[in-house]
Amino acid sequence: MDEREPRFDAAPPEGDGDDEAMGARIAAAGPRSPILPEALAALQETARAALGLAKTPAEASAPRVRPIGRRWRLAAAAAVFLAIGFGWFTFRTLAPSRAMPVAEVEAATGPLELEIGKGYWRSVRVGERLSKDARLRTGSGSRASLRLTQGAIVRLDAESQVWFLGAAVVGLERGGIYADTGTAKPTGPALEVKTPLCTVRHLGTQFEVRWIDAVPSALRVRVREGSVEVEGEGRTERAAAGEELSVLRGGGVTRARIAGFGADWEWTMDAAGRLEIEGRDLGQLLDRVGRETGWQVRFADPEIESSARRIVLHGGVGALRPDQAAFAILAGAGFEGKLDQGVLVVRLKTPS
Amino acid sequence: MSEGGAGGQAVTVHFEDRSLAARMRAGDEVALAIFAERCFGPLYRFAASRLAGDPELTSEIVQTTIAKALANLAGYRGEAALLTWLCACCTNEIRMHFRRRASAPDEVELAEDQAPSAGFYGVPKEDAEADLQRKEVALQVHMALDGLPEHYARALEWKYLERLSVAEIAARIGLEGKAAESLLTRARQAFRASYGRAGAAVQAAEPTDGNEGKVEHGRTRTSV
Repeated sequence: MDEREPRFDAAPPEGDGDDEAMGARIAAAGPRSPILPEALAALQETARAALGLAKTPAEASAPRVRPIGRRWRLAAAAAVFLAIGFGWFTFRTLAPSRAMPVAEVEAATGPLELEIGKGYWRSVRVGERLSKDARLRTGSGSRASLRLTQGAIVRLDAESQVWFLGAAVVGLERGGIYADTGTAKPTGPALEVKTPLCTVRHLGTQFEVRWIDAVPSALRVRVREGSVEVEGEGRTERAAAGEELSVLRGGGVTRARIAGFGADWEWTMDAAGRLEIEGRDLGQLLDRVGRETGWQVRFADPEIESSARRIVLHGGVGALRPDQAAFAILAGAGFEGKLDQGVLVVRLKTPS
Repeated sequence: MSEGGAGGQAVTVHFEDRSLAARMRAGDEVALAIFAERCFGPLYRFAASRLAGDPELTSEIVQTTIAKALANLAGYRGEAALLTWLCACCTNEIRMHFRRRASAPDEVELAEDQAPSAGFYGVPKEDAEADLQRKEVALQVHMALDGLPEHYARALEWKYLERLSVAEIAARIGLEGKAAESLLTRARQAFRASYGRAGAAVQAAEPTDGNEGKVEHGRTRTSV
């Protein structure tokens, strides 16, 4: 064997002007059949065990199932279904039906299914575009992230079901969703999450809307950034960052304070798919980490910030979540981060 | 990439992979993430192609391969790329699986109306060989795409499978045209390297009668 990288007959030749040959080979190979994320996750776990590494927080939390949860969830789901069935029927009947692409699947951590006929579902793969009127559901261990054509990101928690009523209108039928409408000024209509109880309208924000399992016909709206308007049962409420509204059937609304980071928001990172770092500078990456985790990212001094923004990252962080990847990347780039009460302070690594 | 071997012969050493293996052994999370990104998808697809796509058996074989290979990572000396080493280990696992099954009672049931495989009907040998070769190349392309960061693989598939323009790709990923073109350039470069690794892995893992290319867990024997 010589010193070069192993070559074989069918290898695409290197150099300029070979892109067409490479493209032809990719085209001739056809689309890849999907590899189930569970299979890759199982490999991660096997690899970590073989190397004697501790479980990641996601793996460690995976088997933590509340023993009475499923029974309660089923009972609550049945109660909710019966209680609001009529309202939902009216809501669906009034919805428009013309088909148009409204969203694309960006990531899925397990089975994600699209309704193709009453009671018939097929699996959906990452990269697939969904039309208006598409109904989508996740399974017990799966989460998904979708990008709407109007720009917002919508993430589905496990055991959730949504219905795309329009380019910026999502019906939440079951479970919970998280929406991030981004920091850019909106160019299209505002995102709305519709339920039979109320409509949640974003006013430039990150928020979660979720049916409450334990209380029939109750919805929870948590705002992480910006604010939302909640309209239903003849009244309109506003919720700002750090607030949680519980909306009850009959018009009752309760309000509470919440943190924008921590365990309650972790599922949104699990659903996000891989963190892409290629070509980003460290500052951009930390901005993204802040957005995904809810942490405030601060630099110990302006010089550190400017040097972080000059570092361009290459490669990938595999399946690491943003909160895990941040520390690994900071360490690799000669920095260190200290997290306290949702504030990540970045400073130069102190020599050990 | 090379260093002197026994008897003065040149031995190819994959320094990057050897360093990656050493970092993994030291518990480096980032190294494991890189290893997972480069190897898990291609290895799974390689195994699936040899196991008629049976997902349960594929998962079982690939997990066994990873468990054994990583437990014996100290024996990896970089004489083959990590993916080549894993695919060779996987071939051994598959061979052992079928050997075990051959010694067990046969439980295969054949339905009477089951059609024989296409190869049964006197398909010309050349066609069958060409078909096999096409499948192998497709496997290598898919393994190579699996071994890329997902946004690279998707950009290439959008470009060459969906025939999207650079402007359309840019719009999909929220980049400007120049940035998307630059991403495609990096994706093509990464694909070339990944395709080379996939090809080497598939070729080295071909079943042979002799010992050439045979890989035992934790110990690689390659022809030099």
